Amino acid sequence: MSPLLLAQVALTLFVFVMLLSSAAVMVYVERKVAALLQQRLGPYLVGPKGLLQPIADVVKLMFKEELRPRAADALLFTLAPIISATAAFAAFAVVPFGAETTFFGLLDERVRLQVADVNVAVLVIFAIASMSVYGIVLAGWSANSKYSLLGGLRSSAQMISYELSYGLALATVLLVGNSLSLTDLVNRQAGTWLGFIPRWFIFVQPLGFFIYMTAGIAETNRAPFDFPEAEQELVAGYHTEYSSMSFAMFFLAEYINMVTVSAVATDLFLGGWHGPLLPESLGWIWFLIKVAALLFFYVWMRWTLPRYRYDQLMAFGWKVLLPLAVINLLVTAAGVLYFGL
Amino acid sequence: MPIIAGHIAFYYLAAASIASAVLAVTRRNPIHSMLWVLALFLHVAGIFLLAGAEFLAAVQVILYAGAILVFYLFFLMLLDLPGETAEPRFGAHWPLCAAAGLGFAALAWFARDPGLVPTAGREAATDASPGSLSAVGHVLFTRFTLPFEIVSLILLAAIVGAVVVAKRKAGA
Repeated sequence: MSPLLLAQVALTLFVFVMLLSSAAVMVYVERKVAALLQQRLGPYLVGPKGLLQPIADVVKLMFKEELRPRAADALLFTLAPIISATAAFAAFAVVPFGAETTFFGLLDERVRLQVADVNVAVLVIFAIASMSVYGIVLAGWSANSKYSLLGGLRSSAQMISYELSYGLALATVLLVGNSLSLTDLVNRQAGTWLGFIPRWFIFVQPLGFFIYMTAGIAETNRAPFDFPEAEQELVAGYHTEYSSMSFAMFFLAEYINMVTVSAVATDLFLGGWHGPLLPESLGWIWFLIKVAALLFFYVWMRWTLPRYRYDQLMAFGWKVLLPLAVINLLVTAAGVLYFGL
Repeated sequence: MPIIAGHIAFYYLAAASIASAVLAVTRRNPIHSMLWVLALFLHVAGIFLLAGAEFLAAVQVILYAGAILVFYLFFLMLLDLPGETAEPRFGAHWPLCAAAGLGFAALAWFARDPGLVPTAGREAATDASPGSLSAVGHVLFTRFTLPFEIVSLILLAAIVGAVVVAKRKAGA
């Protein structure tokens, strides 16, 4: 095996493990931040400062019984969580998270810190995001339970509605960056304006960033748009009938999707691994800081804002966000054409 | 890609596409049919990838598998399933449908001559990969502007029709 191939395999495994552990870390952070915002202590018994709580959670889930309703569609009921988790992992494959590196001179050639360098990366992310709705819809339908079905229906309506704005927000960035490759887009954000404002697309596209993040929160079914699993009305929505590890897979998928949305936002709007002070080879530290900040924002939103009503969600998606996204796209296209940005 | 691997990939994708299409029309459970259509779309996207048209493959997945099919699924989930599966799978009009299908097959057979099909997809496929998006865009807004506009007009008519039907139901 050539060293280059070995490095690629190691990188792929590394990303996989990092995504898995990021879900565990996010569970802990979510509970701790929620506790902070509500003036509680949060988990503190298991390990120092409750740090081992996620491990305890996983062990508990593993030893739970795997239940399946008798009237469920057996094959689809098993398949649905697998689709969700696979789609969540697959999307991150095209996300670059650092500049080209030789791993401290270990390799002769430079490799990109990314699992797969695809020249239509943005479209791949969008395609996989549109596939992930199948996991939720099939989970809702196959369980043959009222709450699950309603959760699945809500989710498919919500995801279709917000996918449009999400896609248009991505398209605006592509216009500004004039490329479909995430690596190219990040490299176009290097440097500064006037010596102190970083050339991040968020300063060119503040509205695009707002639309992207709002639609991203709706796509990942997080509060204040967590209708598919609105506890007070639907028990647990599409995963009402799931238990044990198949439930854990939905949980995992939700957190990994959050990480992916934040990582893509970092690459598209926040300059990826570019930042002051650190050399380019340590850019991944900047990337981690930015993703962590966005993830904290996610958690912060969840425990600050109450859930909208369902008709408000639909009206906001179709009557506010989508027109905004279309106008933003048209204005940006005109700007690019006129000024040749 | 080596020629042999390319051939194997193509014949696998083609055979799987046909198999899932057949399964889609023969399953009793409409949701299962729908999922076979999903398998069909994904395999067709694979054929686009093999032809070097990454953009078309992505659009195939985003639009057909990710949007249109989800809408169908949305509707099918509300069907009365036991009643639906008990009825015979094929209506009385199936010979007509079969004839239409054969007609399309014949069309495909006659169109297989490369000289006969000046499609956007072909021009995009011959272009190098980063160009396939700009190639599609270019021919769409130059050579094929008229068909493109006609298609959008047809879609607009469908949207207006849908709104009319929805309004009538709400009023009744």
